[in-house]
Amino acid sequence: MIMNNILALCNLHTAPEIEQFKNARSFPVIPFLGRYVFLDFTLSNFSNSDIDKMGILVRHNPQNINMHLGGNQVWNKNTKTGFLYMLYDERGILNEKYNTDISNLKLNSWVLKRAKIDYVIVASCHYLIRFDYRNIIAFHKERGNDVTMLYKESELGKELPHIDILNADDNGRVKNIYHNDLRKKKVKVDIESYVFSFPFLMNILKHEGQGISFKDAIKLALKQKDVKVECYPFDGSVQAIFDFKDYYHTSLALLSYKQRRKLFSSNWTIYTRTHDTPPSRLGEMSEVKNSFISNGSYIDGHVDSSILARNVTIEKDAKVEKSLIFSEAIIESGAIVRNAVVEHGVRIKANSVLEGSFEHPLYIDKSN
Amino acid sequence: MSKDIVSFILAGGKGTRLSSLTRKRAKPAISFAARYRIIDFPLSNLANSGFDTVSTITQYESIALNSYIGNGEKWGLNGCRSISTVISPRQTEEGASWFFGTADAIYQNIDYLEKLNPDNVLILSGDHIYRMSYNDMLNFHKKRRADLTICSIEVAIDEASRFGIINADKTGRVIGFEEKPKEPKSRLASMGIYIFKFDFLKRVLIEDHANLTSTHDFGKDIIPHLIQNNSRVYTYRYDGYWRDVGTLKSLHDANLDIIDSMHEFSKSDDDLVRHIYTEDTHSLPAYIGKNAIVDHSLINQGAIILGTVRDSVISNEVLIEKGAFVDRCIIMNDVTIEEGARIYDAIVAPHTIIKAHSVINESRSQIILYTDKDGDDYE
Repeated sequence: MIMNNILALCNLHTAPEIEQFKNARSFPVIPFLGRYVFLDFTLSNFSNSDIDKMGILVRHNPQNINMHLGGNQVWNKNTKTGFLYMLYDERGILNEKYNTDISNLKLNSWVLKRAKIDYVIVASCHYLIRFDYRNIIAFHKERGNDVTMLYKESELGKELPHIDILNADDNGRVKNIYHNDLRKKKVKVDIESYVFSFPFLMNILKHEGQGISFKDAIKLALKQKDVKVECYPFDGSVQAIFDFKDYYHTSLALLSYKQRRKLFSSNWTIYTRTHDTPPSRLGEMSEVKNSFISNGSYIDGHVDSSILARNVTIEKDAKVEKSLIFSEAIIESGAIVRNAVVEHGVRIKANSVLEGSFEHPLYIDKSN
Repeated sequence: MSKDIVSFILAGGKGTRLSSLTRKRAKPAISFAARYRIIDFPLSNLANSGFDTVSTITQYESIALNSYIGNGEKWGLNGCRSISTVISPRQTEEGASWFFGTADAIYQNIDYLEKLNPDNVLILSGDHIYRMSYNDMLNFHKKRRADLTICSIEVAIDEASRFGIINADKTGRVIGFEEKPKEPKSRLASMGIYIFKFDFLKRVLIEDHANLTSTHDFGKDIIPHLIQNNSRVYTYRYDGYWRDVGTLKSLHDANLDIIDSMHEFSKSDDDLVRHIYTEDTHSLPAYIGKNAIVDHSLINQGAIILGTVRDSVISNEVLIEKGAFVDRCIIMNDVTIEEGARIYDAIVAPHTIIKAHSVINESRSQIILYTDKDGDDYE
């Protein structure tokens, strides 16, 4: 049954910026596994958790996201009682210092009033997870919390420089939040999914100034004795994407069935926009191994351990290995592409050789 | 409210020659080309032609088809001035009645047509594979001031006796029409696509209804009668790809044809035929395994191929396990072909499981339908 007393927001303000894609696309709409973008996973988690009131807190490039959402009725169960709003602050876009999630929601607080809700979920899209938010909501209610923070227990505390860490007591009460100093091995990683009780959130919006973030607000709240902030463990698999290398490695790792099953499940559909492309055609001379092939592709060459997005053409005798090929790209006959990411619509000329390494994959856009 | 043209898709028939494939679903709802259902073709043609008022007439096992069509959203027919309806037999003041033939199905809905009051009515069959913009045919119909325009295509002479065969003069005026003639006089076959002037259609259907000897069929009764009466019946010639997939063999052939032709269309610049719209199954992209061999095949999203596939069409959520061998087969959605199984020249019905190491139709004496139950569910 649809949970109509919950509003879930996908927070794009905290998404990393990936240098290579900076000019072409913002993080939430980076193509992933051939047919998805990162945003799809967060919205599908909401949708599969029976949450039908959704918003996206957009930091910049709203046109990118608009294009992906299209008629945006893909994620809603009921298209009348449910909604999916894009929320952004044009003044914030002009002034980066004030371009924060809280400033954004302050400006768009009409959505909170209109929605008639008891709880608000704020979730990122750069920690890829398969998570049923009904579990954390039940916990949050039962404990009577003001804020509940989702975390992942990790043994890799010394290897993850980008993360924030939660410090909690034995009862799960959060004491403080700090940026990883790489000193501890076993840590609670803040995977940036929070549940707020509605009155508490309204209080933050009323009293906190422009230019601070949800995380800042939670940190401030930790100093107040009467505010109850607890953490809730996530026991599934997390794929964190902070840079180009993470992106490339995570994509290829998901070619493994075992890895893939951690993110995808037959009862947890990942919804995305459809382009009505026909099935792919693999020709007589094609040789495809260990690869994802999205619809609309036309393959006569060799593809190994790679991911092809929609409408890709691989001509005869072309070789693509350990590469990510974005939609509409054409790899001409005899060309070799190894350890590379080929942008949307790029044409790789016949017999050319483009080769990166697994540790330093090549990024090929229209400029090169 | 008045519409220039209103369209009907006749999708009520069973398709008896397709064996248990049509046990729980009407023929237009059958899977085609790995991703589509047959009815996606006429519906997409209508959408691409900019025709916005579409009624699909269903009767036989209509649940699967009715729920698939829904409000027409998959083809964009849920827009602000569009009307998409599914019409099944209904009870009225005069009582209740099934549709007794293609013409009767339209006759029983004359009240609905009167409300829309169009200039012309387009009548299509729901079980043909082709891409076409109906605009040129409509323009032709108007220019000739025709009462009825029948779309036609040239077929091979040995196939002609399967169709309604048209005899026309140089201007396209139809001077003879024979339904399934034993000795066809021409190769020009009716495609079952008709544009009628509405007023004319109404009069003809009322007359036909009163005729107790009529079987109320457009091909058998209405058209021969109109030609006898010297009505203005014209034929519009179509020369693209068109297939009637009424038998297992023709369904199999048409699927294999499309392995190569599907992409010619999707790369075409002509927006009127470029896209065939359909349901999205929200599947992952197809995964081709480390030891898989895929040779000249059409593979839809959601398929997982670990074995060998040759000259075949593989739908979504199909799993072909390692060591399995699939040759010249049409594998419909959600089929599993277990390890080491081999299958030749077959259509495999949705949700079928082919047990490990079984060998099916190795003799290849004919195209077979393979299913592990009497008929599958509504999906």
